[in-house]
Amino acid sequence: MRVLVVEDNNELAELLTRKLEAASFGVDHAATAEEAGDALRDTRYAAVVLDLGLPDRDGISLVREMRSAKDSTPVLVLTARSGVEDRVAGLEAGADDYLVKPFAFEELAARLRALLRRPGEVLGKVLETANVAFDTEARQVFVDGRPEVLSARELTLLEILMRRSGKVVPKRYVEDHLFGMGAEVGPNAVEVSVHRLRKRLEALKARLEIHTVRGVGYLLAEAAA
Amino acid sequence: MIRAPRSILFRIVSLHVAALAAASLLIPLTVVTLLNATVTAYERDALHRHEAEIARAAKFEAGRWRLDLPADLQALYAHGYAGFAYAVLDDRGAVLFSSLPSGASIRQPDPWRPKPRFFRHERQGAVFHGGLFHERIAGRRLWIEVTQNLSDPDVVVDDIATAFLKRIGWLVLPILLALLALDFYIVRRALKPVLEASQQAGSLGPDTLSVRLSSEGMPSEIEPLVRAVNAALDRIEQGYMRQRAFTADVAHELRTPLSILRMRVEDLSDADAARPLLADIDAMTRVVGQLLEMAELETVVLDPDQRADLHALGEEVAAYMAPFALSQRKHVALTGTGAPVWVQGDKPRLFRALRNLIENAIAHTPVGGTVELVVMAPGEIRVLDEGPGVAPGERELMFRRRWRRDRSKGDGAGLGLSIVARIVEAHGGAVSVENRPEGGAAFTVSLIPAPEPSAAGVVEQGHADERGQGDQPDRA
Repeated sequence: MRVLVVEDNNELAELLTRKLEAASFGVDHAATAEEAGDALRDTRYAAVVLDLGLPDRDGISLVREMRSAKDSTPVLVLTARSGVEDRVAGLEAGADDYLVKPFAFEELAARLRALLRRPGEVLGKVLETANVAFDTEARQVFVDGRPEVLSARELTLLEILMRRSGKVVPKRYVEDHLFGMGAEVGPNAVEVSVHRLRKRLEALKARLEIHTVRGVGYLLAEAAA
Repeated sequence: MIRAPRSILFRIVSLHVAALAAASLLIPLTVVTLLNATVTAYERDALHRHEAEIARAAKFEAGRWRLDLPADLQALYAHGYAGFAYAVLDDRGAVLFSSLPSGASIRQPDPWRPKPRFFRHERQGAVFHGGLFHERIAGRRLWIEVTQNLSDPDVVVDDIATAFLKRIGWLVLPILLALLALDFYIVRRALKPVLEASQQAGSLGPDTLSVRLSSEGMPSEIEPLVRAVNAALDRIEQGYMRQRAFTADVAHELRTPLSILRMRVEDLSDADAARPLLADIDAMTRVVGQLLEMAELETVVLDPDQRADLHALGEEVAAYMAPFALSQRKHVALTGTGAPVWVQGDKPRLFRALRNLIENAIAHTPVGGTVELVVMAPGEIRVLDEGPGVAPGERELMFRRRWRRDRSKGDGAGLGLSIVARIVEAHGGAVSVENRPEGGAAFTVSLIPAPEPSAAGVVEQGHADERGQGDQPDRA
């Protein structure tokens, strides 16, 4: 899969190229918006990694140009500005995701993979956190590689949490997806389900921890050693 | 004391009303005075003419006074035509002849004042106007008094002035009102460009800095003001753009090398050596971010129409900060009201303020402790930590730029609180800190409550992007 890296800083461009290649991407590099425009006309890329601070013109205008030319290649914007307005401007222009410098390369690679997966493959994939794997297609959970049996509700809850592993899933979201939109559920229904799943995971020796963020929701993460 | 409204319309119209009121009093008064003077002169002239006729008729013959009035005059006085009457008195003041029913005179002559004397006399509800004239006929002194009963229905001259005043009085009021209406219209019309310019000025905001006031049709007295305002706007816009460009450049110049540094450190094979270096880079990144935020906030002008729901905001910030807190084995919790709490505010900036407060609270909370966010109506959000609290002397310094409890840490936490102060200040709110009775510090941010925005506004305020805010602490 070939990606275009648009970055005017040569050192950063080299590092990105080397690491992306190591992560089995094919990489082309453009140092200016003009070069990028040329490259985009000649080659069909799987994705574009675009730095907004280019010497010749604003990277956002390049995205806008691509979109108006019906080029839907996913664009991951790299920006030096953390101002929310700038982010919103990037996304409004048609960028698919953004990352603020400096970033961890793993984050960049993960976001890039996520962009390349979109949209079709969401269902047929295996979610993995710590020693737990969740085959969402077969609806099968593996702990340390051995298949385990969970109840339907446990499976649904675990999937909700594993899909957003490391992030807080709002309680309302859990409630809606576990019991259906607008379902009449008791005030503690979600807590009870989470409690059961915790017990179950503990019994299965899964190295997962479900944290309660009181008043907000739940967060699934690898259990601290 | 009530202060007069400051509108130009009010000022001009009220001054005009005063001027018109004075004029509408003065003009009839002057006219009536002049009219009265004319009437008086006319009456005196009439009295004089009657007196002359009588004097011509008076004769002294054979030691006696005789009055040979022509027949027509005799008839006139006998009928009291137009209220005229006469009395003739001799040197000693004795009445010789009188046409008055009483047969007497109204006034007694004063021998020492031979000039004609005019008088007004009221008797039994009737008003008499009269003149006492001195004559010398055949070497003898004689006093002739002529009076006119002004209440006589035949007398009209006197009524003219009064009637005039009444009519004028009724005319003045509608004229005054018509002028007022005209005034209102004229002034409104003249001020229309000024009103339009005011509306344009009202639409000025941080996102509409390119708006300029129109000087078209502007009165020449006000045009210099408009030009000066536009020139000032030019300078502000330039400064604003320059500042934005500057922060963008600085951000790029600082963050790109940090990106390179981070990736090189990630490549190190010795993970134990890399870990503290990555932590250093993260701290450095935070300081850079906060410096840029600080610089950006210097130029911030908030749109007062923006609305934020503190409860939704609290949920988002808590969700955003929870992974970072949990990675340090600390907890974040949201309590207080579960209902929306609307305030005037720019959501992304309030998010930053709260994020900084929570970062600060997490830094001061021991492992296993909880940072609690409490949302309270009508417009308050509190951040409670379980740290050592704040010494009384530190409270004032706390929100000043660069102040930090422990300068040896170098993680930019001091800047974080001054960013909080700046954002809250820009919102017209207040931030304060106190110690909790159970230990730890409590930061309170009070904002200006606002009504719930319309449906369109809610969509705009809606769900924050799921991918969260890009500069999430990387240590998580």
